[in-house]
Amino acid sequence: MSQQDTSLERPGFRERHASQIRMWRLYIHTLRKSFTSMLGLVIVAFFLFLAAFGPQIAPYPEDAAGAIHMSQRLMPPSAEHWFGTDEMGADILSRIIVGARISLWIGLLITGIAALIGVPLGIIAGYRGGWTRAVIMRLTDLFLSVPGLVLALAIVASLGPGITNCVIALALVWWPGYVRLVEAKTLSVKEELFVESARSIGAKTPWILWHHILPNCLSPVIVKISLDIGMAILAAASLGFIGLGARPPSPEWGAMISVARSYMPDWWWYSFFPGMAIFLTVLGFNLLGDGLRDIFDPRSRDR
Amino acid sequence: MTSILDVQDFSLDIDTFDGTLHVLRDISLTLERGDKFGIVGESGSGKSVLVRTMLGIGPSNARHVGGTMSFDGIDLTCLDAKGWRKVRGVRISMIFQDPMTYLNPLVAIGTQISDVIAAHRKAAGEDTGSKAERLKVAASLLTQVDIPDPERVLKQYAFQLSGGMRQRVLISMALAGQPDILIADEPTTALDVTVQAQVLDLINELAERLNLTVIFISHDIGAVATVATRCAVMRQGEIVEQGDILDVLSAPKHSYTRELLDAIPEFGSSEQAAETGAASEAPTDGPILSIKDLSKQFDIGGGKTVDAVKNVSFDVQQNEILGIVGESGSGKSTIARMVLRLIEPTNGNIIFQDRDVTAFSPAEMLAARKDMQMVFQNPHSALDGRHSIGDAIGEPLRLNTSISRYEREKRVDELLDIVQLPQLFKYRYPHELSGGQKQRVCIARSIALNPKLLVLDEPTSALDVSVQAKVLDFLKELQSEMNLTYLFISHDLAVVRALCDRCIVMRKGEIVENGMTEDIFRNPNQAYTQALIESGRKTSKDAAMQAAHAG
Repeated sequence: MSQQDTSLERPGFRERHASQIRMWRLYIHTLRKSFTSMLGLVIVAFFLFLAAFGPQIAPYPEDAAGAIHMSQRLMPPSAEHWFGTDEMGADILSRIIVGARISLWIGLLITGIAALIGVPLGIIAGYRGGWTRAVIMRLTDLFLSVPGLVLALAIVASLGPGITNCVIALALVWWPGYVRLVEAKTLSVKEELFVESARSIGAKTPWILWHHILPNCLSPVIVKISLDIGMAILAAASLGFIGLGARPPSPEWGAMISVARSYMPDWWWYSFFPGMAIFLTVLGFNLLGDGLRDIFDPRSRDR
Repeated sequence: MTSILDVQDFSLDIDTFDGTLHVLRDISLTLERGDKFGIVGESGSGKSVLVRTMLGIGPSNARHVGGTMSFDGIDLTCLDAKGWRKVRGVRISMIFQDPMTYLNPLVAIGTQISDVIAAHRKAAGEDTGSKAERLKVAASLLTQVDIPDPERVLKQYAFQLSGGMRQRVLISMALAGQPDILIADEPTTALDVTVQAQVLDLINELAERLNLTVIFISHDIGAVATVATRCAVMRQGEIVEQGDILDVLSAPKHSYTRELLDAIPEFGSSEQAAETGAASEAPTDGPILSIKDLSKQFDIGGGKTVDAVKNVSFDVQQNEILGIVGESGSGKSTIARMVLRLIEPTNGNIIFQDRDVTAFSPAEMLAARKDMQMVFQNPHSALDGRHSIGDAIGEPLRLNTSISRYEREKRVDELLDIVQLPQLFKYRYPHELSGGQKQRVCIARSIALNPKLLVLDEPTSALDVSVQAKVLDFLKELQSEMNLTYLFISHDLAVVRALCDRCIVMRKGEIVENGMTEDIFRNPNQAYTQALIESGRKTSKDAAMQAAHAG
């Protein structure tokens, strides 16, 4: 009897979450229909796996930390060293695998900080309007009018080279995109009837921003973050390449190519494989971002 | 003599994520030249899909699974793009529900019509002619649909025209190809009553004059009856009943048709009058809300202002239902929003429970909002799609009370019971609910704090007629159970008559008439009120029956 009572009061997990389960099934269904999105997902998952377990699966983990084997300098790809070795005799495969963590971390950090700065500013600008909006948007325009990488270069140059400064600099030039995106979205969401409805039941502005505006702005932001992680990794690698990012012997991919530059073209594998790693991650995040865009497309929501 | 349109056992499937949907099942109908055929059904019954398929603009993921559909000997089920060009818009054309979205806002009306004419001539293999000549044809088309001063309208843009004018322009475009069949898909749903009556008259007259075959679709059986001579009732992709409109109206065979007919609010019956009259004589304890000299001016840029509401004063008594009637633009929604201070009034006082709302500080206003709540016109957008129903109903409790999560859940369950929805719904999301269910959720949300005054802004105008009837019954029940006072805003006179004790008629921001609902309906003082009532009566059931008898 009492058993029955509790079951009446609280329906099972499946019933309570039927909507979410269906939603996720729909997401997976949409994603699986598209070959390119699946490819992106597989690539991203693969690199995430490398980032998580890199030191455990790398064949010569000590090489990533800068071990020197002068006897095996610049050996071409072989059975022991699939991707060959570099000028210090370190295994390039191991360095790439361990470097995945640095690159992904950089990408996540840059876009994460940029979104944390940009999204609140965008929401405030869009919701408040008037002076607040004018100030925020003009500041955004100011940042957008200078080429991002050049500005980042200037910032790193003044802060001094290094991975932390590189992340700070890129995050500082990355946020204006989020302000633009979120401001436009907020402008349309705040005209929706449910915002007025929330005000009529006594909701104050912070509540409306947090519970209504933010969740409804989030899907394009997630898509943009996914697309941007690839670009951020590329930008960080570029800074690494010109010697302003991670410093060798850190196994950051851009820094690796930077050193390998002087060994082209005879020792091609030294720059080729780190280059491929960058290429694949950027491709993977871009394809995944496109797939996410399809998922979050409002036209697919009603199905 | 072959029929102009012949559909036999036509079935259509749409593959969706949740499985195959049988959108149309074994549809059979035959139209002779000059027929006026009506299709009635709720939203989702497949009526729009059916006529769109006749025009080759059906859903792209639809699959034809059986049956035939032929127009004047042409098989429509296997037509290619080239073949459609000779039929679509030329021999079969269509007018749509919302004329604004079907007109390009950046192109002058004249250019749009002349482009249509050019396209038709091209399809027929003729010379397209000069633009000046085409504009002349366009002007004559506009004259045909009773547009005064067509030369001026040709130079105007869609936003400069009223809803009725836009629909006339669309009709003229549909007639440009001199079609055999005119399909009208809910052509009057987005229009005011007076305009609706005019457009229906126009369609009737054109059908006579041009010997058109008309297919008229609506969820409103009253509107269908004014045009059609035969009709079909559709439900869940099937035709449940088909026949002479008079037979369907007076002796419906299917129980669903009866349900639809019962749902139409009565317009002229006198028994109901007695009932509402009695209710209004109940003793009142003075006004709960009184509005004094309320005005609102909107800035429209360039230093110009528009008076949305002009010096309006009225009282709302305790426990009564006061209706505010008017066409769009009459300022009725503005008043509703000012009462809740969602819009700040320019002038005047709003006295709620002997306190002046306009002088409230933000904190006092928050407290006062517990006692007055609003139900919005469009339940589809009044609920945040990312909040579950439970969250939506619990939101006012979270905002205004400090009860525990457990108590809140219990109260949400109670509220769902009150609005007669299953408790499991609290885990669902708005897009999974029908329009009527969503509006119930909105009502539950607004009564969560036990308010005294409920402002209802066209709560049923976005709903189907059959759903509207259920929501109205429920609102009436709720009012007497919870001792609520309603300020009920609507453009639909029949609805106001069915629900309200007293009513106010508004026009262009001013009160034209104010009194007991029955008195106003029996002997309206103003010509405007009279016109409103006359046009409302035109699409009522009784009028439909009479028209059918006469025809």
